[in-house]
Amino acid sequence: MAAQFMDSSKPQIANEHDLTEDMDVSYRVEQAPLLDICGLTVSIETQDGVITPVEDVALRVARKQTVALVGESGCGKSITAQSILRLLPQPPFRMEKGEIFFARLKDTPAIDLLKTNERTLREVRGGQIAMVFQDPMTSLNPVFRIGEQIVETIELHQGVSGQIARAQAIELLRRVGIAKPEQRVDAYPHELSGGMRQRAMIAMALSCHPKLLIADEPTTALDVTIQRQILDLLRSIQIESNMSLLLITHNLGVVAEIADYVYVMYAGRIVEHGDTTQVLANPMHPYTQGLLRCVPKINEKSGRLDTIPGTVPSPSSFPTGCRFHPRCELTARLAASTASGDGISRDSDRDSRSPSNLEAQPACLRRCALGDETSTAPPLRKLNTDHYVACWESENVTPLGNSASNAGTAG
Amino acid sequence: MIRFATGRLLGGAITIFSVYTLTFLMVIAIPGNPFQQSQHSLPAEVEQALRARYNMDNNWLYFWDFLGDAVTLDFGPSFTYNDWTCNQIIADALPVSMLIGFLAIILAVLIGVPIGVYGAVKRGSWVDSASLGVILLGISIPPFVTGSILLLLFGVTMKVLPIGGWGTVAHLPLPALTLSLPFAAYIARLMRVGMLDDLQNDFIRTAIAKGVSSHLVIWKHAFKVAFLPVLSFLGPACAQAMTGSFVVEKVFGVPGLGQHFVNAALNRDAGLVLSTVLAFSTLLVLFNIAIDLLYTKLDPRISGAAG
Repeated sequence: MAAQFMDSSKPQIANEHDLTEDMDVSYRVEQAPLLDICGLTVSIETQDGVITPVEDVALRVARKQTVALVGESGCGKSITAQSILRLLPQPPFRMEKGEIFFARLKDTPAIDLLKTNERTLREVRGGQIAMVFQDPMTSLNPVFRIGEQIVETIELHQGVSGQIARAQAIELLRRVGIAKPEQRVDAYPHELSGGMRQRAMIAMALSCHPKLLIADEPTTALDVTIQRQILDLLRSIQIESNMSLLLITHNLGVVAEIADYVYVMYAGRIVEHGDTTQVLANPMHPYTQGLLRCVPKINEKSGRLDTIPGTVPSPSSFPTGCRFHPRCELTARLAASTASGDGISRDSDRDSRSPSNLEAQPACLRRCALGDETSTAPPLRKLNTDHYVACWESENVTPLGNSASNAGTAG
Repeated sequence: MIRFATGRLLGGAITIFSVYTLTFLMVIAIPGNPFQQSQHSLPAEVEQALRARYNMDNNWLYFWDFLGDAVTLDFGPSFTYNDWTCNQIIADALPVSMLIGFLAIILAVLIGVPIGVYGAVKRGSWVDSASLGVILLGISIPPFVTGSILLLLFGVTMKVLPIGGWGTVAHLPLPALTLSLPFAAYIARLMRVGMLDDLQNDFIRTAIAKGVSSHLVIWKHAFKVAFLPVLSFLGPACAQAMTGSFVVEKVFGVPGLGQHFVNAALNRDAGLVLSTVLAFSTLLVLFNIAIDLLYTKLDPRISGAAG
């Protein structure tokens, strides 16, 4: 399987300069975001055909910015994150379309990580973009000491070794808040608790002063009090070391606390993105609104938490049109109001989402389920400078009220 | 660590004692005795005298007598080889078998590990299919066939190696290779499975994300864990290979211990049967303990439990 990580068999057609020939180079150099994912489409070859868990994802991370990518499990967040460093084994994964530009060096054009050669990629991995994974129990190699694993990264990217690297490793462990780092550096992963292991993972990720840290649900596998500590640690490190942070999470409380900008992902597509305060104060996609309603509010006594009915569809059976429409409250409301309002297809209400009955439906519902002439999925529409939403009925979305003020309490 | 080792040594002693007891029971259970095997039957008085000399009328006494001597490494006389003690036979034959066996295990690791690793790394490709084919052949073709083919090829057709015998370096490669192939195939299979498992692990992804080259990801990060099942196989494999193979020794005319196992049983040579079995089980126990100690070195998760 590891062979799939060695792309050496494939000829590398484009080098860094070829890629930028037809682009405005000055734009890329001057104002390019640190990371710029354009139209990323990832598919998986399965025995039952090709599925596409990530489709046409665009995402930008500016320098020193904290960007959150949120969505339920199975939305394609982790696939998107792992695509950045080409960590997905190919096959079965296939990078169908898109570019992932990374502004590696100052004053040179950004490189496309999907097309760059293996050597450059290895320099970027761990050196300029580091990653922290979800489960610290399994993400550290059980047969090497913590220190050895940190030192390995330092040796790979910093050109120092031996005692100097070891001293750096100890310093890093101290910085991420591990007590007695001189002793812990020689500990094996199984000798540390979950929170400590995640700290060690973060220390390893920080060891080469990356420009971008990708944290893929870094707190999901930890218990709640430890989650808070790890989150505080990530935030303070991000500020101290001037790096960018791409945080993958399903926890909107976390987003409210530390993200500058947020992307909401559903069923392989970005459905809404914008400045965190704007998106959380005024979510304009029914999915984002649904997610926000699911956050428990500390100052309200309520019986049951709201839920979004249904589950995320599997990539093999994504609905046509807007992928959220079978679970969408707005679609249901529009269907109900039109059905009761003018009597059209009153008795087919229950089947209103099956394509055979769509012809009888009003235009707005057809659009949710099938799209319009230009595309089936709703395009991202600009609401204002820092807020975009992909909903066919965005003008019918009712604002959610005061959710944002409460979201922050649910870290 | 020392407590662990002494514990294992004590357990080993109990194992060896059980093996000795079982073998002894079988030796007295099978019909016939060493003195009825020769062409001319012995006069009754002579046989009587011999039986008395070797405590053969009193199994209980013989059991403890032999064990007592064996503890002091005195295995007594052989009943079939005139003027030879079992000590001399083992001292003569065991080093030969151990040399061949040692070479065979080295070869088996050198052949088996790369086949298993590359099969796993190139999973599903022709390399993997080819490695699986080789593994299947190695496990299923008996050594007397591979031995004969190798003899024909290198000894008869190409005339580069002697067809049999013992004494020079040139006598080593063919029997060692023949003996190694089944072990190599087994190691390759264990290695392939271990590697396939291991490459799925999250920490492999971590290593790649750190910028480790694919070569090091395979041979450093994945290999160390994936090799553990192979390591535990190596203990019994070493003991088995080093105490001699009857078939390989027959095919190549090697004066090893393996044929003594078989011949001693056929000749009802109780002393030699017991001493060869004791030699084999002692080696097996020692190798297993050595492997267990190595294991704790390679897998830190175990040393904690072992104290």
